[in-house]
Amino acid sequence: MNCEEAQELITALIDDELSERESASIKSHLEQCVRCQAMHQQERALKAEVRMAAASVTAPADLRKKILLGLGSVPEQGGIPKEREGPGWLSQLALRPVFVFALLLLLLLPAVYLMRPKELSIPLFALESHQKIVERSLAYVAEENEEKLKAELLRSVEGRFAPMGYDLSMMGLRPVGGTVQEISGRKILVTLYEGTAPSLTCYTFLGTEGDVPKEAALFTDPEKRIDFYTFSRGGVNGVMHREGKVICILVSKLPMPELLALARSKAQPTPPPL
Amino acid sequence: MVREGRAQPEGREAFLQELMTYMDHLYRMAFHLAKERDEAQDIVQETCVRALAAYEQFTPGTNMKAWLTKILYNFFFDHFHQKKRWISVEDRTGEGDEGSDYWDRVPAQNPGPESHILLKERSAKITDALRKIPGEFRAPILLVDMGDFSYAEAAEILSCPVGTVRSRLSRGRRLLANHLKGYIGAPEKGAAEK
Repeated sequence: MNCEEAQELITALIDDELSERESASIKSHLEQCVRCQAMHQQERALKAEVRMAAASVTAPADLRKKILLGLGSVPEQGGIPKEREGPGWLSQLALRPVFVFALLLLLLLPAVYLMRPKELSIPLFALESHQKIVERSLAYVAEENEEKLKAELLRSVEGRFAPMGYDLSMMGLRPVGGTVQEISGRKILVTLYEGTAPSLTCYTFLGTEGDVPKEAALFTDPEKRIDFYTFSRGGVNGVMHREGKVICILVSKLPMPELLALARSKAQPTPPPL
Repeated sequence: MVREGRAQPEGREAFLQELMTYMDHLYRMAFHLAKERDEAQDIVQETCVRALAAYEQFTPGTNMKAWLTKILYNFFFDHFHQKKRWISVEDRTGEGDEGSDYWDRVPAQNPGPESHILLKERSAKITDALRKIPGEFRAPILLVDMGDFSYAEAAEILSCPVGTVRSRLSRGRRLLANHLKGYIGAPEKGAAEK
């Protein structure tokens, strides 16, 4: 195999898309070729950078609202619309009488209202996004070095607050990566822990008690004098507490008593240094 | 066809709710395909309209993310891309080859302040570099590296062979690396240009 032939295999090796035979072949070549080793390292770094950049682009909040409003105008039956002159969606609405549009808005307001808490509630977002992060279906950066991961996440919020990082090695969990998400303009740092126990995600963001979901149950730790809020959805549990201005939500499929005990054991009455 | 199973939507409302969870993904794809943000928003809106209109054609238990992404790409190529999405089986490997398609008209610089940009400096560099590479090489990067799709899923979305995805992805990453020289750890001299 020459270096030119190796390039595609290096790409597929990074993406775990090789057969066993191809994988053995390229690994054998890499052991002997310093230049391809460098290419391999560079391409891995590049992929990580692109993934990190992906996390920085999120849908504008007003786009979500426009879509929720706009989708109400689509007939429930029928296939994919035929070809149009360009995007067409907005222009079609614009051609309709104003009162029809206003009526449509009135009819759709309840639906929009019902959808709204889902957009704005970070705890709900945490429960819903947990599995997606575990499955890597959200933008995600793999980084097993805890300090590097923390520094990367810290930098993403310009040092305003640090991700809460816990040593969960006693549970067989270690940090494997993270992501930065944004809900209604608020940035959320997420660290993923994986290992022998059910995967756990830790969401850190700036907030207040106002972020506590209505359905949450309160548990007050009498020794640490910290309030913990527990909530669940679809078999995924969340435990939320506040340390100063920083809120931490631990999310996992661990049984709630175990997750709460974990949060209690790790929570600190004072905020961690930035 | 698709490798990932999800909660099965029951009816239009459930479908809509699940669709909304992919909004960031769809916008991310459109943002890197489109010339400007308004255009990206139009692409996402139209994708959602088409998806909801055809929601009964979606097979519950299959990969909604891939299904939506295919609708998005089909719309994009139909309305913004005047030429065939895959010009030839042969890669155009000429250095500085910017292509002769839609992306030629895309400004190379960052489109402007983006309120959702985190990691601003690094993201802007990647975004700029992505805009400089021809679309046929950019699409696999968007799907595999940003969308976390497998090669098979990317091939299905782009209606091309898996081998084409692999070769274009490899070439695309090398082009991207060339545009990020000095930023991403460079390999031995000459390797990236090969």
